[in-house]
Amino acid sequence: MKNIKRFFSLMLVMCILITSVACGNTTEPTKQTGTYKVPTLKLEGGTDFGTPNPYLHASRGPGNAKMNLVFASMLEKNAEKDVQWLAKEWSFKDNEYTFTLFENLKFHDGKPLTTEDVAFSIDYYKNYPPISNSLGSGDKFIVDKYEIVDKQTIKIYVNNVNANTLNSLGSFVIIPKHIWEKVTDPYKYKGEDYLVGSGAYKCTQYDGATGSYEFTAFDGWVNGKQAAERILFVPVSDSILAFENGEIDITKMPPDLKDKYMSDENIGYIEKTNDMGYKMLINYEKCPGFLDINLRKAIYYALDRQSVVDKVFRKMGSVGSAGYVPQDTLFYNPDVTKYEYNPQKAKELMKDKKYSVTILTSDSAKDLNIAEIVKNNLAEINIDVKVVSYDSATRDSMVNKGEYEFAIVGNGGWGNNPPNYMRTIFSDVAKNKGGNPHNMGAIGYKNDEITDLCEKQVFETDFEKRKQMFKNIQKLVSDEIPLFVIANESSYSMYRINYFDGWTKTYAYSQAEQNRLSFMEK
Amino acid sequence: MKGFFILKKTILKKTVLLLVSFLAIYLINFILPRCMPGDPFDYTSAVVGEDNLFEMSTEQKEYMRKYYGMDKPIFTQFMETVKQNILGNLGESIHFKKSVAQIINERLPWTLLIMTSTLIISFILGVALALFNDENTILGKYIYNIFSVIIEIPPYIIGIVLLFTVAVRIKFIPISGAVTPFISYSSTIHKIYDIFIHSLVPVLSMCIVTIPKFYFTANASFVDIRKKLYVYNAHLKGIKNSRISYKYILINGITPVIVRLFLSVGSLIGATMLIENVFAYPGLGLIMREAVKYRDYPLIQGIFLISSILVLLNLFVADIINSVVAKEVLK
Repeated sequence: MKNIKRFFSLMLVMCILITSVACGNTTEPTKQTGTYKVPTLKLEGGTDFGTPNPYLHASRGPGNAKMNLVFASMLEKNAEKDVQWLAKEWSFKDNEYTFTLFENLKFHDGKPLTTEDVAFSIDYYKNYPPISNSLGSGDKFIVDKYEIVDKQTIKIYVNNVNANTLNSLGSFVIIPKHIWEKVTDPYKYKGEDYLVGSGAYKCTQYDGATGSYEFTAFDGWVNGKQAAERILFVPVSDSILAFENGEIDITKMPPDLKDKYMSDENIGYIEKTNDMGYKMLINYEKCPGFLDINLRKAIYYALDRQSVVDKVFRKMGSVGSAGYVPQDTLFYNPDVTKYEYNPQKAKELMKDKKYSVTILTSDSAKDLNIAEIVKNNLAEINIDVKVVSYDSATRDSMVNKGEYEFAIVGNGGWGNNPPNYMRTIFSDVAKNKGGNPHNMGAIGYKNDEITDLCEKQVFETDFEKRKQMFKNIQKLVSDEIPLFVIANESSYSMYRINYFDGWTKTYAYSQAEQNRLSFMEK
Repeated sequence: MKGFFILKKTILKKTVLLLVSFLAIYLINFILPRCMPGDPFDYTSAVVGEDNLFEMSTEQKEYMRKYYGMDKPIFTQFMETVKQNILGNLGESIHFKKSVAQIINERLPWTLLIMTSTLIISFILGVALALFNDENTILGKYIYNIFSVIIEIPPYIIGIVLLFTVAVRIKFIPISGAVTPFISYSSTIHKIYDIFIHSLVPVLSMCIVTIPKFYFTANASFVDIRKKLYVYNAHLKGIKNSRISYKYILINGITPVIVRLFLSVGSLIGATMLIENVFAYPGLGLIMREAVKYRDYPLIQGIFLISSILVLLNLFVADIINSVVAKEVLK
């Protein structure tokens, strides 16, 4: 019996020892000044999106967003247009872009931020491209030269002017020269000053293991006032439970609870309209029969896309525009050709032809459900479908290599700026060049008219003219049907309206939680 | 003497087998991630909210491939990895931009914490129940039948059930993470309590499934021992039941349960990784999912290497224990 007691005591000591060894990061409490609109804003964390500096963050939206809180660019975007961020004024003429910074800008270590730092950032990014790289790299680096006029004004000359040049020059983040000029390997640099940024918030704590981040308002920020003293990203197991328990202040609204939360007057919500989209691609090299436009029209008419919205998206979304750009976005053309569900018309267009195809899709539940609906719809017009699924990375890789007959691809970002993706999907000289779903276009299909418009719009700097060009592209796409837009899914972020209601989107990105203007007083 | 010689030979044989297995796993571990379709620099798993505004250009991808040595022939990459690993360097994670050793160092303690706690608790309770539970009673039959059902349920299902039925309803039990975020601990006891309370439901979820495993192993072994003549003899001599249970049954029947303890490590690593995903517990399970999703070759290799070493060493120990027992039998 004595030995049993010894044995249990030993086990207990071991438990305590192991518990003590596995320790988390502890912190000093942050001072509360009470001068901000809210003391803290808590968001869903738990995933390590990397260290928030230009070289160490994860190359995904949430990683980029955290870096953007700590490091500032010269311009920002609000819901309608480009706005001041580090630069108070900007202008451009031919290939010369002039930016004037605010007075008394500082880095987080208190050292002044001047145009010397802007120029240094350009040179440094040319040698060491950052993760989010708006300036290009190698031969495609967009900056030709620059001229520092004074501590606040810099003129940047670009190699080629296009409609995105101002956006590219306004988007790169400024890093402190006095720190990075000594760094020769930024992808590994972890010196004590590697998080000294130029943004509205300082990163005061980061624990990759738990995916926890703490950002604290920077006293030296001059362009407006921060809305919260601290922004916290905390790990959660279930975001709805965490929201209900008050552990986080904003979260995604689940479709099945939409009615409950929308009728609650204490809950506010922000809509990400049609931001997720599903398209079906045909590899025409493997299925040349479908180069016949009537067959493609038959497929569109055969697809009951409303049932995708109703059954798969639980009515949160809309049938996709055949012109690709989703409804309720800035560039949407309502006059594109529409293909309502009409199986009879589809059968007539098929003219008793029979086909057998394989649809490649990812193994996510939504992709598979959509593939099943498509399979059943196409079976009615004598297209026999076999569905094969892989994990999304494998699916993406197979699509990029052209290893498919039909493929269903779903991805986010359709509600972003259409000029960012229309060219890379529909221009024959630009499509299928990257691994991104926004690059996945039809293989074995060419259309000179669409390609010509897609290429010309890049150099059109007049906004209204460019918008019209995109409307023309959408009309052509809807008539020619290089690919099939199945449906767009909307989502909502909900928050407690009485606590904080400053969440906002940009005209080019619909994730309010990732927009740094959401964390500023309006 | 003959038994000792056989044991020495067996240990030597097992050690060679261990090394061969390790080398085979090491090689597969290098090749397998690179055989997966996809690339660490491609945009994968496109979900809303994770899209990147500026994707990498072809030139930037080439630059990064060169930076991580992925432009070299596969054999050169392998030799460089071997050299690095021999020097104790597990490489750099492509997705997380940190050294793989640092990532594993940050997370392995959490995985080990819930895994070893589960093993220890399950071992003690499983053995104790088998030792003191009489299967001929109604309670004993209930335990046996309930355990027979529970043992087939994956721990992550139990985890989800406990999360929604217990953790949410009891306010002081946290529903995620391993520590309270951004907390300032007033004392070591406070810190230990915080870690304990966060690990409570994850450990409980795994224990519910693991206890029956130890119970059945121990029970089978103890039933055999109970039938031995010397136990019968001890009863006739009037020795106390508690002394018989400990001195005769436990001591003589514990070996298969100890072997089971080491053999359980492999399956428990898998269970732990799933449970970590349920409770957002910051161990290797969460990071492994990300590593595979983003095709982060060095990180996949690092995590599988550590897991393989853990499993192989435990299998080796279990083998040795069995060999020692065999030696005793030969005597």
